[in-house]
Amino acid sequence: MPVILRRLLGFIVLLATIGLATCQALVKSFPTGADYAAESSVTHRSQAE
Amino acid sequence: MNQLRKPKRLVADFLQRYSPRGMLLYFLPAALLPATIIALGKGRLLDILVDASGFTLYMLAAWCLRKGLQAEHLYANNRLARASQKPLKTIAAVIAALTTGMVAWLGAGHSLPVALMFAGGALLGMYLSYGFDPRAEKISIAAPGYSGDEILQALEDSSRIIRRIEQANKQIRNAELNRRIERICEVADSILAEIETDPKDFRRARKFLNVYLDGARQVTEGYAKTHPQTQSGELEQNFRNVLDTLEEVFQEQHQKLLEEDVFDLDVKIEVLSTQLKREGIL
Repeated sequence: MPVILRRLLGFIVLLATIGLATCQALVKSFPTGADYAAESSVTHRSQAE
Repeated sequence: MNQLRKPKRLVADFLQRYSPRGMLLYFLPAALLPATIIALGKGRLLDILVDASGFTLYMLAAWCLRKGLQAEHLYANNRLARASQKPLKTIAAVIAALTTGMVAWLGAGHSLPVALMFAGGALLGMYLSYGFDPRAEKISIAAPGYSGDEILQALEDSSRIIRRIEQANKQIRNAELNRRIERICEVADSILAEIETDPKDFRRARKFLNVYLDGARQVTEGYAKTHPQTQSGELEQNFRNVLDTLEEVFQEQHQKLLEEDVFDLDVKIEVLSTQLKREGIL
């Protein structure tokens, strides 16, 4: 396999693995709907009290 | 002056140091930085640990990879070369693979088998992009009576001495002397290049490497240290005389290596050795 093709393939594989894993870790760390629901229930409870 | 072989590897080493190859690994895990900050804001200990350690490990892998690529470059460009003692590129690939597996499993929340596939993919990607380290020694060619290892060590030591002479030269504030010392270093570099090309020359150049090169270093460093304190014309003249001698013997050595003619070199070296001793350098 020509070197340039091998490196290009390697680049794509690295992007697909390291890039994907780290971006998914970032997305997972964003506040989710459940987080908002939990936060708003805490707010409502404190307002009711 | 005959054809001086300006060592191309010095230029190539400089370019390699600033080559962008291997920088990708510094940028790919950038997403872990905001992920760490967000996890910190939300007070999730596991996420903080995974994201921060993941980022640190990727930086370590990138550093190892760059060092490994530099070592590989030196290995590829020298006729005589030792394989790197630490397989840095392989270490970088393993760190990157394990870190990717850890981030996919604990950071992104994939199952263990999927995380292992991520790790395998990262290892494959590292191999395809950068390869693993060369392990074979390239020092099989040797001069009679000397092992390849001895020759390689002597060449490395000599190259280090030349760099020290160049460093000392920077402290000397005299354009004429600077030029002469630069010329001496160029000839010395080309002698090393000759030996590298044909290690059989090592036997003839051994005395030059052992005695004259180090003598040149001593005298240059000594002059660089003392001349700012004493503006003695006599000292400068003595140094100029020594440089004349050194330039002559260096060029002669280079010439002899090119001509493969040794009949009177040893005699001349003895004469010059006596002169250097008389000057108090050796």
